[in-house]
Amino acid sequence: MDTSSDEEDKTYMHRLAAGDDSALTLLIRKHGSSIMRFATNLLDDADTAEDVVQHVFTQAWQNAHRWKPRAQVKTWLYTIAHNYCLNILKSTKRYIQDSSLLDGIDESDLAEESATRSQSRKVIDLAMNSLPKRQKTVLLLRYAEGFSQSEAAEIMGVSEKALESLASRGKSEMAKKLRPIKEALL
Amino acid sequence: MNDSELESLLAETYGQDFPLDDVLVQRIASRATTPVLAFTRKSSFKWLALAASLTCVTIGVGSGMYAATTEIQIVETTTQDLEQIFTNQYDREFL
Repeated sequence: MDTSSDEEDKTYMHRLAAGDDSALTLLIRKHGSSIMRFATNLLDDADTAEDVVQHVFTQAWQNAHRWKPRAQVKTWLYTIAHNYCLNILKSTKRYIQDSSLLDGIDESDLAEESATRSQSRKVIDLAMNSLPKRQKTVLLLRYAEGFSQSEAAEIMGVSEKALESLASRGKSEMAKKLRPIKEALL
Repeated sequence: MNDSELESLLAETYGQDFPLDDVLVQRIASRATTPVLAFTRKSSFKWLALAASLTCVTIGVGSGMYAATTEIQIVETTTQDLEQIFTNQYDREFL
């Protein structure tokens, strides 16, 4: 992550800890949209994603005094978002339901989906939602949000080795699912 | 599809900007700094709506049961009165 950006975040957190509420608005303007994107992509639900953003910044405001300057603010905010998304997924069983619906999906289904709807985004969503949630999360953090391997591992609370393995399996599975429609996607 | 092609595809598909408008930013900030308001998130409204609906259903069912019970009492009372009148009349005619 950009060092000057992280320094700016730390300034906001110090101001917040000192009781300056305007720093929260600055933090939301800076990170709110990317957290909204991450939560929307992970939960596949924009309404609930707004709740996640609300929760993240409420937590940031309430726990600003506990935040340790050695931790990156952006990573810390994403950790809160990730944990809250996991709670939502567990409580609603939404992900499990989605996964189970798509467990039986095969290459011909995806090819047919692409041919009939001509919507590559839907096909990619289907393939992403058929992945185990930890693999999907790794792919989103690494390639959509642009976190490094160590940052993504910190957010998910796993070792870098475990993260590498999850990413590798996720990519392999995605490549397999999308192979029949590769020409249309690239 | 190789790794770099897939990574580009994921970045392109899921990494697009997701702008938050200023109204939403202000709303999130004001709710976050007001713990009571933080509770009134969208999902909370759904629960409040459900609770309100259940309350209406309970009141409706309760009122219906009360009305039905009252009607039964009226019918029972009227039947008893009629029996009494009939009995009195019968007694007067035959005694």
